[in-house]
Amino acid sequence: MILIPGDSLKKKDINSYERENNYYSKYILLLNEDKTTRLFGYYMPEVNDIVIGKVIDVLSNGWIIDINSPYVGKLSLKDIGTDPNDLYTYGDYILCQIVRMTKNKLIDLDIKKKEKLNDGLILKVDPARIPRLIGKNSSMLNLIKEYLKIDIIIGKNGRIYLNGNVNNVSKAVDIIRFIINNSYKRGLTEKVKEILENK
Amino acid sequence: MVKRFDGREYNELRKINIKSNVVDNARGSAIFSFGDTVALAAVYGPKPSKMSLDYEKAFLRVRYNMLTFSTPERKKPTPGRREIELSEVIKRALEPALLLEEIPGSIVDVYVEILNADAGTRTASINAASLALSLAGIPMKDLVVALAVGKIGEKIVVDLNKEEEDYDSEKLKKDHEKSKYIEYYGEGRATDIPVAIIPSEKKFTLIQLDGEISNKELNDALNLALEKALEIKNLMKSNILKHLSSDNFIY
Repeated sequence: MILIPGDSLKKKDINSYERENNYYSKYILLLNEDKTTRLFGYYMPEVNDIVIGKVIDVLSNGWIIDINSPYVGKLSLKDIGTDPNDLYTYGDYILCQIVRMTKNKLIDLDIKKKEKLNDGLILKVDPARIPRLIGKNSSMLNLIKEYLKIDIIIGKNGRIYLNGNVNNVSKAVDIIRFIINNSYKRGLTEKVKEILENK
Repeated sequence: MVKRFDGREYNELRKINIKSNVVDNARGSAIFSFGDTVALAAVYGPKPSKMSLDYEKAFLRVRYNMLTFSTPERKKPTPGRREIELSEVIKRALEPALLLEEIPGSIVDVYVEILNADAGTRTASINAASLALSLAGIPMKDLVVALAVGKIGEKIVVDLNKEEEDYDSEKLKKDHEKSKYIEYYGEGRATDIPVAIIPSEKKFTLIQLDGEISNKELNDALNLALEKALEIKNLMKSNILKHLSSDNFIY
C-alpha cells in the first residue's frame, strides 16, 4: 500500500512525524505489514557509511568531495608535504567512509580504498533503492558478482562502480536497472537469477 | 436555467488534469491544470549551500515565471513586480507544510512555469509545486492544496476563470447576449480570494483578497474552499498512486 505525505501511521518510525500524539507519514511511502520504506529520495549521510565521492575542489590541506547528498564532505590530506593535486584532482571518483559528522552537518571523510575509481563505469541510481540492490547479507550483489565475474562497488549514496569485461559490465548495467525499476516486487532474487542464467 | 459563463455549478471546479514526473532532469516534477490554466513545477535538490551552515532550516527558493506565449498577447519575458511577488507568495504558502528543519543548511529549488494562463495561476502553481515536492522526496506534513473562491456579483462561487474575474454587471447590461448572466450572478463586481490549505490540519497558508466582501460571506467562501480542497487532495492522491503503479515497480 502506498502512503502519501499526511496519511496516518500506526506507530512512530523514521518516516513519520508527530502531531497531537498521532503519527503521520512525511514522504511517499510503501507500507508493508507495518514496515515503511521510502520509494525515492535523496541520500542523507550517516556515520560509518561507505560512499563513492567525486572531487569537486582541491584545497591546500585536502579535498572537498561531492557525496551526492545535501551536504559536501571534506577529506583531509594526512601526509604533510605532498601536493593534494598529485593524489586526487578535480573529477576523480574515490571510495570514502564517513568518520565524523557535526550537528551542522560538516562531514569528515576517510579514504577506504587508495586507488581512484576512474577506470570503470560510474552508475547513478536512486539512493533509496540501494538496500534492495545489495540484498539480505549482500545476497543480490554476490549473485551478480558470481555470475558475471566483474568488480562492483556500491556506495550508499547511490553511485555504483563497475569494472571488468566490457560485455559483462553492460549486462550488469541492464540487471541493475531491472532491479532498481522492480525493486519492490516479491521474489526478485529468483527472477534475477533466472535472467543471469539465460544470458 | 442559466448557469455560470462556462456552464458550471457554483461549487464545481474546472477540469483538473495532473501529470507527474514530466521533467527527467528534475528530482520531482508535475503539471497541474485548472481548465485552461496550466502550471509546470520542477524541484531540484536538496543541494549543498555554500553559505554558512548555522541555519536551522533548509532554504526554499521558488521562481514563478509566465512563459511569453501563456497569455493572449505576448508577455515580456523579464520578471516584473508581479512575478517576484508571486514567487514569494508561493514560497510562503508552501513553507509551513514542509519539514525543512530536517535538512538544515541545504537548498531546495522550485521552478514554476505557467504554460497557459486563464486566471488562478498562483493556485495552480502551488498545487503543481506541492506535488513536485512530494515526488522529489522532500519531507512534508501534507500536500498543500490551493484553489480560488470568490464572490461574483452576489454569488459565492469556486474556481473563477478569467471571464468571471473581470465580471462587471454594468458592462454586461450593454451586451445583449450576455446580459442574461446578470440574473445568475447578480449586480456588482467580482471578488477573487485565492487560498492555500493544509487539508489535514485545516490550516490556511495563503489568503489573498481582491475586491469587496462582507464578513459572513467571507466565512461562507472559506468553508466552501475547505470542502473543495479535500476533493482536490483526493484527486492528487489518486494521481500519484496511478503514476507510481504505471511505473510498474510496485506489485
